[in-house]
Amino acid sequence: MTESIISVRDLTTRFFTDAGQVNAVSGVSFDLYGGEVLAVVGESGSGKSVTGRSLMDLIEPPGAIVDGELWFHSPELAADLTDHPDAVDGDFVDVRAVSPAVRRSLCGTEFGMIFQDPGAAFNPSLTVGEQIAEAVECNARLARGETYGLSNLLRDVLSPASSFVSPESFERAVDLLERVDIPDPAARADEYPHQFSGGMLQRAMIAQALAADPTVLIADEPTTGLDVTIQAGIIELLDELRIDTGASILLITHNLGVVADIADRTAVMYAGEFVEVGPTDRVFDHPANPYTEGLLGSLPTFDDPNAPITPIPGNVPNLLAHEMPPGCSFAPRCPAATDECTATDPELEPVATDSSHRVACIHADIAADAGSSSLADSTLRPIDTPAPERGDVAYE
Amino acid sequence: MKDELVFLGRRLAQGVVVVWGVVTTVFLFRVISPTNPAQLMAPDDATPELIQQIEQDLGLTEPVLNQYVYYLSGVLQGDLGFSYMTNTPVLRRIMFALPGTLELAAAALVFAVLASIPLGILSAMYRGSRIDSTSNLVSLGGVSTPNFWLAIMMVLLVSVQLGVLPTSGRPIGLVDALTLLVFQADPNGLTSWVAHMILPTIALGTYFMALLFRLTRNGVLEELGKEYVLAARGKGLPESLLMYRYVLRNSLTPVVTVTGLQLGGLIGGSVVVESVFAWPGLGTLFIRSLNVSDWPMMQGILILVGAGYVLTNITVDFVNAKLNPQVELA
Repeated sequence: MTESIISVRDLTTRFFTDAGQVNAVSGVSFDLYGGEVLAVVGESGSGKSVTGRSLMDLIEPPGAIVDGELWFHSPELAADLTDHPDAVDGDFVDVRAVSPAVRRSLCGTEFGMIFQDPGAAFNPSLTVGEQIAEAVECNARLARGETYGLSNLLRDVLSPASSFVSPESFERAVDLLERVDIPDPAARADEYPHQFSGGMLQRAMIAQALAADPTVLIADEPTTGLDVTIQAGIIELLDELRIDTGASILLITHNLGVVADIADRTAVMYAGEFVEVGPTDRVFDHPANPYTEGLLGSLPTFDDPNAPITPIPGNVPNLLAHEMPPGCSFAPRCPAATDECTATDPELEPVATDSSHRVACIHADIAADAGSSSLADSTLRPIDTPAPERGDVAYE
Repeated sequence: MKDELVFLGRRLAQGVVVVWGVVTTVFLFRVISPTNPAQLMAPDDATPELIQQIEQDLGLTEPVLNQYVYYLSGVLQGDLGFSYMTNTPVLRRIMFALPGTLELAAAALVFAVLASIPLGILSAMYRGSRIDSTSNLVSLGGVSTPNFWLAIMMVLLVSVQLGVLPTSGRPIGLVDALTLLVFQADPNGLTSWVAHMILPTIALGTYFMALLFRLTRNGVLEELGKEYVLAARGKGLPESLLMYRYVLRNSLTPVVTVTGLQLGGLIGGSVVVESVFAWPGLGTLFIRSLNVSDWPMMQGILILVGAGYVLTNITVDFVNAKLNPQVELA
């Protein structure tokens, strides 16, 4: 039995730049189930990373989450927040509707984020162990209900005897480094980020994301900057952690090979919208959206190294609001596009009778018949039938 | 600790070479200078014999190389020679003028740092707000206003028109003022010291403040856009700690570097500012010596300033290496 951990509804994130309004994420809805890996794939600039950062509440000006609900399964918090009826629905809490302080603590403890470039996501002037220990410490202080004021800061800054990170937190940071298979963790904890290799630093980043025992790991292109051999190790580690900790993983990537390796379900993103979502083998073997088909067609295959690679013509549209094509945003590049496509913006609809596989394309049936890919292999885990959509289920 | 000592030893050795270069250069300046100090020192109706006698007394008739070796060995022993004008030891005159300059430079530095860094942080945090645009305007004015003009205008407005602060002078030093306060419970010395310090400090420190403000603002803005700041926010680090440990600390490297480099500039700038405020410091002493071609005095001042500059730079490199672990002490 799988159950939703997160239900995102109509998430809309925009950036208000000098050049105009950028619709980075436009009304995205999806569920993340307990213990699953949901991959979000798409080309650069399709809004994948912004989706992940929106979940973490890490959108900074000039960007803003302008609309949407982010329901998080937390019976404890739901019970605490009975005086905020708008923010609570059964065991679910709308992260967007609670106070910033509650949201910050929720995002900091329940969600762990793995950034794309570990070299940029670690502070160069603090040791790696110290930074992981900070995450541990933040979580511990939150659990004790402590606040951190200016007087704490002054004491930590001015007194050599006082520091934000306690020795226990540092020990836990060393344990976490060991957990992600970093050799000699006690010594490496005292090293600075520039003394780590890319792969080791990405492992340290994962250790940091695990500091608060998160329910959800958001991995934003965790393997992009790494060697292929090291990529495999990182993906293996993520898979192992998913099994050990039971955490769900939102895997943001443009590497379809990685997706095929570990994702239970795959969501395809294009121009700020989900255009297809379903079990990974269904999406890979029977893509229902011409865009998904194009993505898969642009990959070389092992079966036939001489098979021609078919690129998708054109480029991802500029996400500036006034430059977006009307109707379906893929229509200008789509081989199956008709006049109808530029007239209506398609919504995600179930493909045929399979409610777990949904697609946003008015020509979905044609594409599903024509498309096929051999990338998804038989080693994929069997996919449980996803839980019913939010709203249809009675929460207890 | 060993690294630190090796670093200090090596940099000090390099510093000695630099100071030797300064000594040699200022010595050469004197040699190629067309003015004859003996002529200037002698009375108007002096006979050629008298002038020649003075030249001989000053050692100017010796071969240049001998003069150089003699001067250099004197410097090595801490003997900077005697002033042509007053016939007093140069070092004593310099030591007498030094506190005034150091107090002024230190006050200008403190004023600049205390005003610029908080403003820079605020400006960056509230980018585009009124506080940001106002500070930017003030800093633009600050970097583009020559300090002598600012000094004269302030004297005209504050001292002459409003009659609030004294126009010039340094009737009492900080040490004397504090002695008076502590041992005789007389605050008048300190009040007078402060009143005389305010305008020169602002005149000397404004450019520096404007410069540091821009560096801080840009540095903080750059740091705020870094992914590790976002990551720290994501792990729930308190905002105040984040600003200190992730933003301020990392954006301070250029600020520290420029502060060190500009300390020399503060001393140099004090030449002009001291003149405007009739401030009895190294700057005034230098100008006065320049007017009468008092070479030993000028040489002494330049050597001292050069040595101070070298020491400041070693300190800056040291502090930077402590702030940024990627910088190795070498």
